[in-house]
Amino acid sequence: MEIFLATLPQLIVLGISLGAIYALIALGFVVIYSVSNVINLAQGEFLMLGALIFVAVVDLVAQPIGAGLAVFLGLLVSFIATGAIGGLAYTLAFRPAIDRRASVQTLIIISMGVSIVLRAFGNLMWGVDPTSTPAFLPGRTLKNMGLENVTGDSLRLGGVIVQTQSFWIVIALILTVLGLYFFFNRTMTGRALRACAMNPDSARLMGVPLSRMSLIAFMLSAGIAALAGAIIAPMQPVLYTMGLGLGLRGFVSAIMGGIANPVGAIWGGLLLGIVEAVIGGLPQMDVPLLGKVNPASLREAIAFVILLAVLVIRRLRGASGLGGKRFGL
Amino acid sequence: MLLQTQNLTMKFGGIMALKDVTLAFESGKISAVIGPNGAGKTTFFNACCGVYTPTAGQVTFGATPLNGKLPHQIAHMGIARTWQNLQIFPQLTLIENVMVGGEMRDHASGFVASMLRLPGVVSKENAAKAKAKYWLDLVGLGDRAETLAGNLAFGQQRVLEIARAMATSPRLLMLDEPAAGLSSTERDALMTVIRRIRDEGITVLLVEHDMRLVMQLADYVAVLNYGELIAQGPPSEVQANPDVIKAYLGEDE
Amino acid sequence: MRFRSFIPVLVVGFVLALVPSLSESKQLLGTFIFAGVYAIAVIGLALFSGYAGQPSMGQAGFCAIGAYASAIVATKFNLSPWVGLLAAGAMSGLVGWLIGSLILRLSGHYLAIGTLGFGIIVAALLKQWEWTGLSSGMRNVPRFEFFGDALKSEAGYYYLVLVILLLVIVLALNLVRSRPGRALRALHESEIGAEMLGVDTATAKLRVFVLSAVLGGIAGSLYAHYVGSITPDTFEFTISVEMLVMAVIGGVSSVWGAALGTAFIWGLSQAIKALPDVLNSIVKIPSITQFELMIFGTILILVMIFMPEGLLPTFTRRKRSG
Repeated sequence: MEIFLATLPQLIVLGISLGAIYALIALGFVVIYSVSNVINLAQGEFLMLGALIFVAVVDLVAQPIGAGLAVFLGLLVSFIATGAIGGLAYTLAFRPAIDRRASVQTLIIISMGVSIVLRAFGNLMWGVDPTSTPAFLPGRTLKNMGLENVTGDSLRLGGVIVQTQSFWIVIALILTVLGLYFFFNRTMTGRALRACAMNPDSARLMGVPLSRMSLIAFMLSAGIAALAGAIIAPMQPVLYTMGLGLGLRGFVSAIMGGIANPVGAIWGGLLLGIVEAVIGGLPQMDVPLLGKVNPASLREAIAFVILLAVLVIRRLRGASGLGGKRFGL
Repeated sequence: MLLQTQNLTMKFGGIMALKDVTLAFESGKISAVIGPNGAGKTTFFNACCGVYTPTAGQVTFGATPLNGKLPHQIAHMGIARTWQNLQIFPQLTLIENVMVGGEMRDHASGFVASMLRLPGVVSKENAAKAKAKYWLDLVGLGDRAETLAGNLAFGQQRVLEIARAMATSPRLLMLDEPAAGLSSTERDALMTVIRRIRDEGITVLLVEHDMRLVMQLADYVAVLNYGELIAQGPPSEVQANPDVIKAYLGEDE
Repeated sequence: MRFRSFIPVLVVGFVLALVPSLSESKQLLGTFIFAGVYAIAVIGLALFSGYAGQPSMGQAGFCAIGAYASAIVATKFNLSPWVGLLAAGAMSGLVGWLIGSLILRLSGHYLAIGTLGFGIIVAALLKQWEWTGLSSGMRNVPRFEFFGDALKSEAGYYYLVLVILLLVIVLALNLVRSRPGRALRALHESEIGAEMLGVDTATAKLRVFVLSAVLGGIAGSLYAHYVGSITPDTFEFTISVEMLVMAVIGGVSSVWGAALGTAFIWGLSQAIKALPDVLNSIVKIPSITQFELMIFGTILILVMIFMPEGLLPTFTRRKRSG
């Protein structure tokens, strides 16, 4: 237990970088849901494609143009290409169904179909062997810059070891949030998207083309997911199956934050990341009935227990408080 | 007095939708709650029948307090209602819609019995069907019993809701804007149905915009404005009340 | 059950009863047995998700509980597998009741993720339980005993699953056509409308959730006694998703639709498995499984676009649900 407490700051830092990734994925869910009312379970697959495309581009151009430029080019190509795939998915799979007034449930199943196709596509294109890519800012570069306390691609700050890539993740989250804020508040297209999210009927009456707005939302969300994928590419094996677990966590974060609430999604993601990391660091325990349990392997389950508790408590509060509405009317 | 409210108050966030409404509705009569748009009429209904939990105050039915009871418990005590924004079951046939109400006292039991389709289940179902048919006939929809409710015209859906509510054998029937969207023929038919229901000894309470209908039907009228009770009494008295004219009739006519 | 609605059950039962006499292929019968086991769980899911309109993404969790309960009874306590089948239904029903009391307060997307979480928690806990063999699961689960070895052959087991499936269809049809079924369909369309007509919607939802859990548990038990070994991964959450797809694609508000959807998805994946052999002789396909999945996903999307109500309602356009 003492060891656990000693590593707690370390675990929290790890949790924040994990959580920032979840938050990015969750933002994709929120953007699509707000504009087009679709719960797109294929978000994780967009992330997977983004990561694979990024790695492919970096592998291809790192030699001729140098690592730094290759990362930049990789991010750009990954964002644009995955955004295009997202747009294609909307046009081919979602739009025809939305035009036929498909129910929420139908659209969820369609998004499952899209995930299946994209995952298989990822496998056919890139095979089953995991690839990886070097950190954006490798440890030796830092060493050359005169920084001490560098081990591998990690940096020691006080008592806490931080992977250099974690900084990029947090920076990416901040830049994405700022970018989205600017886009939704300062540009015509962004404002039109917000109008659709707030009141689709009156937005349509005012001449906002709803299907084009949904297209933009899908492209944007796929692009954000791709960025998330590219940025964690150096930290974990890049493979066609990587989208499943990450997509699920993004979905959970978005739900925790209240599915249409971007700020909630960010908090949801960070909370989930920290909870997972902290549980992962707990020592082995004796649990009645189960025997010896290593909490790290129950991370996912515990995260869901917490999610359920949050949802049920929130629901109970809303239902039983005085002056509350009991039924959604 | 069948239904009474004591200082009924309903707040949503900072908005006061009902403020200290104290009313009493007499058994066996047709009463109406009227008021301009946003006066709190539908909120009053929802607070009475368990859809909302009142912020403060009491609702009493007969001698039983209704506070804290769920809508289905209130329905079991003998209150039935219709909805301004319609809550029919579009994918069920008309007869099925009405049967849901008629089978009220059996919903809790018979899950397993229904799966095995025991003889008791069949006879109860036939009884519920006959009762449903009676009410469908009475409101003039008997010949369309097997149509899906979603295929009905708007006005007919309103009437279907009345048949469905009546199938629960209520002591009090609450109608939320029953005449909204009806043609004048449908309106006249509706008035006949409502009087008929009153004649069977059932208390009727309605929220209505259509002043002519209220004045012709109601024995007693209460007027709400901005969530507050501003007048009550027989229709003729209320009609002459200067506050009411100012708040409601004045701007309406 | 009225005789007229009994006819399709008889016809389907009769046709399916002929299968073992048409082919003795163990593989083919195995495929049918799996499809039948799936159908039982999917009908359970359709009662909850389709009739009552409550999304569930955790049905495989109940299958897991049933399978493990059955396997524990048979291998750890050495009791008859029949006792295991009963224990499977009872255990998953009990867990369904406990979980349902908690998460049925949620609705819509929140309920979907709640049930999803339930399935994931079950699989994770089973992986941690030393007594049931951690990740490698349980082995040597015996077959049912009935007139000696009658159920030990593929054909014998096939008939067992068929009989249970037909029974489940009849019971489910009876349910949806009577009072509780009407109440469920009503609350699907308007919860508050049904409440105000005296339907205790919370209890009604809980009851059908428990029923759906029991059917999932029975399916899990039938699976365990057929295959003989189970692992936590057998019941991972993609299976729940697959079951939801089966229920929706057949026409989710329909008992027959659930059965049809299961048969369709099952048949489709079998048919697609045969396809690459043909194509492979023309062009070289890098990964046959992935190719299958792409076709599978595409068909799923197309069906949902063009027949959003599912296969059965689109083809029959019937007025009543059943």
